[in-house]
Amino acid sequence: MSSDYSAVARKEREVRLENLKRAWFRFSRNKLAVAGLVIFVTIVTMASLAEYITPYPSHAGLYINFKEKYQPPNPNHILGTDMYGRDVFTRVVFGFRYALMMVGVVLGIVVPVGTVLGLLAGYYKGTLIDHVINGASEVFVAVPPLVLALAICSVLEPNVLNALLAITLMWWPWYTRMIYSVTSSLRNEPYVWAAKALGMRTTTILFKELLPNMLGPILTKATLDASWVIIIGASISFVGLGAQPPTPDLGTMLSEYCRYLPAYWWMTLGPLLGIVALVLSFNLMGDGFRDVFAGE
Amino acid sequence: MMVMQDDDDSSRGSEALLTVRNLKKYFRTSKGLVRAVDGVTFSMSTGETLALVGESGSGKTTTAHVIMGFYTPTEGLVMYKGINIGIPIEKRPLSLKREIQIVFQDPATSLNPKKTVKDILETAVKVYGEGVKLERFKTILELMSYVGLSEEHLFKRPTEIGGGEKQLVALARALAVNPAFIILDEPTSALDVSAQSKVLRTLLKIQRDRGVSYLLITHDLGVVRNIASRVIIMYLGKICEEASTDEFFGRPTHPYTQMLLSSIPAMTEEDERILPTRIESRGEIPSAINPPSGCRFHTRCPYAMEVCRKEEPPAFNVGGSSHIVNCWLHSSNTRV
Amino acid sequence: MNLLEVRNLRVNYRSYWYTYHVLNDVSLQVSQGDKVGLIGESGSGKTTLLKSILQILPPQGRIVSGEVLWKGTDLLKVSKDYVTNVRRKEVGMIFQDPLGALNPVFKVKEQFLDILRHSHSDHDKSDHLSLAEELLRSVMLPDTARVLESYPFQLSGGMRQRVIIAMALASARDLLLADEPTTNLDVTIQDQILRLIGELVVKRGLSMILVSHALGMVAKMTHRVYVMYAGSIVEEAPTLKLFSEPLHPYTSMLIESAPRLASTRLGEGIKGNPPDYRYPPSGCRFHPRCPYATGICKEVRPPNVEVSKHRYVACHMYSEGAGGG
Repeated sequence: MSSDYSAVARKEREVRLENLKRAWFRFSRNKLAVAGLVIFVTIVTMASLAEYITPYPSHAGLYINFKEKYQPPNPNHILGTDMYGRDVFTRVVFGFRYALMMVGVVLGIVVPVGTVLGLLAGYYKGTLIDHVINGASEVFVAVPPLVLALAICSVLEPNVLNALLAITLMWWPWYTRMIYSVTSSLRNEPYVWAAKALGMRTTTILFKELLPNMLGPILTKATLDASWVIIIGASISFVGLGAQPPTPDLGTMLSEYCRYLPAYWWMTLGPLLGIVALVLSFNLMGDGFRDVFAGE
Repeated sequence: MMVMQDDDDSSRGSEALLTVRNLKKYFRTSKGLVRAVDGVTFSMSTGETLALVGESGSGKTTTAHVIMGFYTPTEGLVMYKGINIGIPIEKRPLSLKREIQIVFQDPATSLNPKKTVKDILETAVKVYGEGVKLERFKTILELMSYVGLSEEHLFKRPTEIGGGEKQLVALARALAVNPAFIILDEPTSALDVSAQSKVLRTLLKIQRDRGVSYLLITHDLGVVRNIASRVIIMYLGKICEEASTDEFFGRPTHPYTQMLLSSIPAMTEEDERILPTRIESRGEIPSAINPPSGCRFHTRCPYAMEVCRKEEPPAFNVGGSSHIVNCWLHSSNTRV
Repeated sequence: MNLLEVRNLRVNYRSYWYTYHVLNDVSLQVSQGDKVGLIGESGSGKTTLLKSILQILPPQGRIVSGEVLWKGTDLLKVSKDYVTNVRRKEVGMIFQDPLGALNPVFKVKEQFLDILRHSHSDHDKSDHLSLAEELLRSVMLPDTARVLESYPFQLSGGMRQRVIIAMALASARDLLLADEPTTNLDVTIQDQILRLIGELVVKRGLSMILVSHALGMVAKMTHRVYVMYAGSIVEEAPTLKLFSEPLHPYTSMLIESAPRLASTRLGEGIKGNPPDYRYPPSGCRFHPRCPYATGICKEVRPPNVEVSKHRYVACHMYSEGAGGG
C-alpha cells in the first residue's frame, strides 16, 4: 500500500506542476504581462543587490561632493548627479528598496487583515461581528485617504514608519469590502452547507473552503494596488511628511529635485522613471493575473 | 410547541428513526409571511426510503433543511432517535451531525470548484480525526471505489468530470462520516438519464450494504418508483397523501396526486397504463404567502366542494397499510 | 420538397487552444406539418444544431461544411439579411432558459412590440398591440392588459413561458424550434405548456422540432425522432417504434436508463462519459462506450442504413457484410 501511496503522491505533484504550467501558459499569452514581470524581477534584483551593482553606493545617503554637482547624464553618471554631487542612478536603485519595502509592509498587513475581517463579516452577515467590522471599515472609507495619511503624519513625527501606518490604516477596508461581498454570496453555496453538515469547523470552512475561491481576485487586486501604494507613498514623501532627506526615497527625491527644474531636469527624471517603471510593472502583471484567473 | 407535549409518548412508536410532528416553518419576507411548511407530521423507521414529493413551493425542501438544522422550526417537533433536533446545525453535537448527511441537487455547486476530488474527500475524512496520512488516503480510495469511481478521478476538479461522477463524489463525501441517515435533495434531477441510473443504483447498493435510511426529496415520480418504499405527497406546505410505494402507484387517491401523475409524459404504453384516470392539469400553484382557505388544493381541484373552501381536510385512512389521504372526498373513511 | 433539410452539417467551436469538433455530418429533414423530436444527453449537440440552422452560433462557432436548405434555399449561401428575415418571420424559437429569454428591465409590452416590429413589418404599427393581445390570448393568457404592462419578474414561471411561446409564435409562420421548452417548470405546469404547444402547432399548421432530454416528453409530442450522440445522428425512427424497439445500442441503453413508472427495473446506465470534442473518437463516436463494439467501429464511421421504412440507424451491426449481428 505504501508504494501505492507514493505513486499517488507523485501523481499529485505532477498534477500540481501541470496546473502551474497551465497558469504560466495563460499568463505568458499576455506579452505585456510578461514584460511587466521582467521589469519587476529586474527591479527586485537591482534593489536587493544595490550595494554591489551601483557605481557609488556611498551616494545613497548623506554624501557631499560639490565638485561633481549638477552633472548632466554622462558615462560616469548615467542619470547625472544632484546638487550635492550624488549619483542619481545609485540613489534611484536604493530608492527601489524603500518603495518595495513599503509595498511589502503595507500589503503584508493590509491583505491578510482585510481578508480575514472580510471573511468574518461576510460569513456572519447580519450579526454583531458584521456590524462592527463594516461599521469600522465605513469610518475609514469615509475619510479621504490622502487626508488621513497627511493627518497622521503631521500629528505624529513624519517618517517612513508613520507613512506606512497611515497607508495601512486607510487601505484595509477595501479588501474587507471586496472579500465581504464575495463571502456573503458564497456562504450560501451548497458546498458550504455540505461542509457544515459534515461538521467542519468554522475556521476550516473559512480558510479551506471559501478562501481558495477568492485567491484570484485577491492576488489581482493586490498587484494592482501595489502600484497605488507606491504612488501614494511617493505623494506623502513628496509633500514632506514621509521619509526625510537624505533617505533615498523616490518620493522624497522627487520633492527635493523638482525645485531644480527645468535647468537640471535629469535629477527629476531619475526618480520619476523609477516610479513609472515600478507602477507599470505592477499594473501589467496585474492584468496578467486577471487573465490567469479568468481563464480557469 | 407546548401543545405537542401530551402525545409525545404515543408518537415515539416502535423504533422511529425520525419523527416530525406538526412542523411549521414560516419565513418573514418583505411581501409577507411565507408559510413554507404549515403543519406537517410524519415518521420514518430505520432502513426505509421515504420520498417527499411535491412541486416548487410545496415545502419539501424546507422540511428537509429543517431536519438538517439549516433552519430552526417555527413550531412543532423534530425528533431523531428520540432526541429533539430542532436546533441549528451550529449548535448540534458532532456525533449528531455525523449521523445525518445531505446530498444536494446540483453537484456542480455542492462540490467546491477549486478543490480536487481527493481534497474534497480528504477534508470530509479529516472532520472526524486527522489520523495518519496513509490511512486517510486508504479510506479515500476505498470510498471512491465503493461508489464506483476510478483512481484517475483522484486529482480532477469537479469541473473536469461528468455530472454523474460529480454526484458520486458528493455521495462518497457523505459516506466519509459513516452516516445512518441521508437526505437526498433531488439527487438526480440535474443529471442525464444515463448518469441518473448509475447514481440510483449506487444509492440502492449503499442502502443494502450499510442499512442507511433515506429521505428522498424529489418531484420525479419515476425515481420514487424505483428507490422509495413509502411516499408522501406535499402541496403548499401540507401533506396530501401518504402511502407505501406500491399502494401509491396502485391506487393514487388524492386529486392532486392524480393530477401530478397525469402530468407525467409517459414514455411507453406500458407506463401510460399505470397512470390514473387523467385529471388535466389546470391553474397555477398559489403563493404560500396567501394560501387558499380550507383545502389548499381547492382552487385547482376539479372535484372541489363547498366544504373544501371552508375547512381544512383532516387525514382519512383509505385502507391498505396506512394509506392516508387528506381530502374531503374520502370523508366516509375513518379519521386518523 | 422538404421545409427544412440539413445536409452533412459540420460545426466546430474554437477556443484559443483547441478546436471542438461538435457537429459531425448531421443530416435531418422536416417536412410541412412534421413534428420532429431530437433527443440525446446534454452536450450531444442538440442546441448547437438548432443554432446552426438559424445561424445564431456564438462567435467561437463555425459552420465548416454542409447545407441548410430552407424551402430549397441554402441559408449558408445567401445574404445575412435573407437569413435574418427567415428568423424574424418564418421560424420561431423557444429557448431553454425562460428567465434569460426576457429582458428583466423592460415591460412585456415593449419587448413584444419590438419583436412584432420586425416580424410583422408589413402590418401597420397600430395593429401591433392588438396582434400582441391576440397572441397572448392564444397562449391562454386572457388578462392581456395586465400581462403586457408587467415586468418579467412579476409573472410566474408558467406565465413567463407562455409569453415566450407567444413571442415565438409571432415569428413562426412555418417552423417552431422548441429547445427544452419546459425546463425549470413544475410537472403540472409543464403538462399545461406541452399541451398548449401541441395544440398551437396543429392549429397554426406549423412544423416543429422539439429538443429535449426528457424522453417521455418527446414520446408524447412528436411523431418522428432523431437520436443524437456526440454530435452525430445515430438513429431516426417513428416515435412509437423508437421507444418500443430501439435499434442503436446507444438508443436502447438510453431508454433503458430512464426510471419507469411501470416497473422498478433500473437500467445499467451507460458506462463512461460523453467524449471530449477536442479529440472525438475515430470511427463511430460511440464505440468507447458501446458493449458491442468491434474492430471496425474504431476505424470506420458507420453509414446511415435504412433498415425499414423511415427507420435509419448509423451502426455497423446493421450494415451489410460488417460487424456482429
